[in-house]
Amino acid sequence: MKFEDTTTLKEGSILMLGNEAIARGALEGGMGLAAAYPGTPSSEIVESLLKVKDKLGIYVEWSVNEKVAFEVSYAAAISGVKSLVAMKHVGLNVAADPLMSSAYTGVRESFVIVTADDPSMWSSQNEQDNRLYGVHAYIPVFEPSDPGEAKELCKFAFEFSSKVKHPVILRTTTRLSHTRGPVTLGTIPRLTTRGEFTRKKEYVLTPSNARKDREAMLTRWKRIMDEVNAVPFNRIEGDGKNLVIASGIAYAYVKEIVASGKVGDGWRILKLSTPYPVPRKLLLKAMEGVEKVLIVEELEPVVEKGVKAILYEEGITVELHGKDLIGLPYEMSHERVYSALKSFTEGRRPRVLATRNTKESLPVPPRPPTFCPGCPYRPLFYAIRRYLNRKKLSYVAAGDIGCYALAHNPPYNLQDVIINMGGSIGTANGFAHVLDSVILAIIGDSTFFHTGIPPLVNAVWHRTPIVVIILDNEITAMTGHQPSPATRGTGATENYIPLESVVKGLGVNFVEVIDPFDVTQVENTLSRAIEYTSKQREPAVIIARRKCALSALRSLRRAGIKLPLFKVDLSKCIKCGTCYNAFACPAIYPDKEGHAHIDPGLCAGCGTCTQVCPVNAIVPVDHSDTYKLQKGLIEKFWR
Amino acid sequence: MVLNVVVVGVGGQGVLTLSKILGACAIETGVKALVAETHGMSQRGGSVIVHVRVGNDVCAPTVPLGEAHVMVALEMLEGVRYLNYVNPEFSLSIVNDKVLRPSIPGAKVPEKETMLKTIKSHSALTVVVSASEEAIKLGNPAGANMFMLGFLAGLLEFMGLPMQGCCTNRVPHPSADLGKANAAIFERGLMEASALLERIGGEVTELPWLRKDFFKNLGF
Repeated sequence: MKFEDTTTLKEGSILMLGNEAIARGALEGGMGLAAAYPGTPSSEIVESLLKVKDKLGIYVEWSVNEKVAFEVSYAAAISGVKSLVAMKHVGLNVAADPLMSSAYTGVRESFVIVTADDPSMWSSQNEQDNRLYGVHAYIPVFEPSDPGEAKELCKFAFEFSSKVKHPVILRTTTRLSHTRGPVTLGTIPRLTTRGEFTRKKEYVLTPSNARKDREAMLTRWKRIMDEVNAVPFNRIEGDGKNLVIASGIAYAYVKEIVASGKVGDGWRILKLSTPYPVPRKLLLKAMEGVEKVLIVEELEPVVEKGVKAILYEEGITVELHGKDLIGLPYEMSHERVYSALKSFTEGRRPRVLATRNTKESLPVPPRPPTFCPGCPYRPLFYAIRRYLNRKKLSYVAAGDIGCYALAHNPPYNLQDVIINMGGSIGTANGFAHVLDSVILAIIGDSTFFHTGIPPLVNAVWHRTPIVVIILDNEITAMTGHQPSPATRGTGATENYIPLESVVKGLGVNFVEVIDPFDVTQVENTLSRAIEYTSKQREPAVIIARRKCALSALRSLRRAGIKLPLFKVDLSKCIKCGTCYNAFACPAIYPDKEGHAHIDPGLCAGCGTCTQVCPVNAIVPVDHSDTYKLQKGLIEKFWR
Repeated sequence: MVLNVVVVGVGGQGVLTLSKILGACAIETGVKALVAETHGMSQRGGSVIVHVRVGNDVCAPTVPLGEAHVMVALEMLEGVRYLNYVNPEFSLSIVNDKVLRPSIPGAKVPEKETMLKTIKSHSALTVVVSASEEAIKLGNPAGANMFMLGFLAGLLEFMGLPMQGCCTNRVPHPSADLGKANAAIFERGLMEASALLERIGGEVTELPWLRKDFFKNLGF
């Protein structure tokens, strides 16, 4: 069932993605406003809410970055409108400034900050544990153990925040956000976006007010430390002398392994949904008659440190294990929990479950994600690579966060530094002052609007000679096609902001918009931009504009248009491998002799490969006039 | 009881769509299911694994290594890659007769026969199906996932989970033609599952979990 069809349901159990469950919980919790910047694994939360905003009369937006999203949502909460802000874990770094202040001022109505962490770094640059932001900012952290509980807990987080007048962090992880599970639906109350703002000194953090806020926050915090004891999602299960304290998704693994009987009897489990602060009274109750304690949690020892502090303060001495047995990095697994529980009771450490397949397997080549067939970035990076090789230029390519980061891989090998959103132009500024090489900065449209503008201003201001290439596919592609300010929408509720107008407005004098499908144009423009920066000693900007192939192909499919496919004329093919090794389109593959072939199931019909074949062996499957007509027809779907 | 299924393949082959329908239909019959997906790689040609766990005792989202009852491989190389989830004592591997070369320069793909031999030696029973070929014949070159959905629906129906009808209703219809093609491909998969059950004679010792009463104690 689609999320948009579920709003009228008041009961029953349906399969929902963890992130949809969080969105549902927010609606049941009375949310009136939501804002977010997309980022895996958080994106589907606000994506789901956007699908129902008109139906339910709420306000939902993709903001330009996480800091802005946070501020939008915070303003609603201090105006009495229940609100949510969602982001991936590293997004909270961008929003950390208002985060700290929000705890000082407190809120008038519910303010739920959803952070989607990424243990194992499935699609992120790090696996930071954002429960630590709760510790840092004096904000309570809630953590669900499965999609069903995520819905209930999100709803509860709204109630809790409203009650204590304080922001609340709801922390999810990739495994939870991207797992579908049964969710029991409840009622969605009447939602409102209308608030009322009352002027108060608390919201104005000048030093004298901030000092008063700090004290008021500590008073609220005392109450929060008490309230978490009554959170119904924290509970003691079973009885025995061995206590396992498990938080979030770790509980699901612990529960299943204990229930399987593989680790024997005598287990007591303290299931926690509030890793910070640890509920003191409940912990002490769970400790009664316990001989040994094991704390199972993903990533940092947040619960472990909280438990250790309480036990020390209470004068309790007990054998306690945690990270020493369960390990620090990466997401939880059956194997890790089994191994930790076994060694906790038996003192030995089996590395894997007894049933594991130990047969030797066949080594297979890796299959990293790659540019899709028809992706405009493939011909672009192919052309840049070819130009740099031919000119034998010394260069540094500073890269950024998005699909285009894949160009770091062979055969393009373009992007030498990728650290954070907007970091390409920022680091390019620095490289230009200490290196004599050509400095390229590669950044996507959405990332440019996110945090790419200030470093470009910096480059204009300081006359820094860098070539900035903005890859404008008019969408936030990597995270699932959320719109960006560069998306040409209907104009009804969102304006289109052409990148060239922004860049020119910032004072860049060399600005050219090019077609990345045109390999020659890419090389020529790059050549002129490099010459310009070295002569004029100021930045140049190239905007490569073509729609994301996935969007173009989707609209072509919906329109029922057959793709004009290509094939290899085997009598001409010289087995050079340019198309499948250097251009590296996944639709093109070699046979045993090295001749190229095109898979009709994968070919997107973009035809850019015809430009790279040195002997013009790649030809349309259909030479007829119908094909030529079709080519003109499909062009508008790509533009 | 929990039935553990891993569905593996290449981003773009519809691994997510298949798994989502399977999970939704399981829930609709009243049994618990968790479907742990891989996003990001799923549309960009990367290696994809989805964990589908069906049964009221399921808590954790992922399948333990070596504990998959069924591995569905939409692509053979990926089938080999994820063999550590498979168990020679009891696993059924359903392998699509399709190899996609990773688009990295100079990638060396093992011979098909070698890959199949490896999969067979790791599984209790291996079934090779021409899902991609059938899908092309029936009108949707990207419809191999619907074949596999049909196959799994057939198996689960045999095991006492009445979900065939639900799956039929949920076969995607992006356009009228593709909808028709998908329904036909799904039917082909169902038929292939029946053929397998007939061939092995229903309940066999190699696959001790493939029983008519697997889901019976859940009240069906």
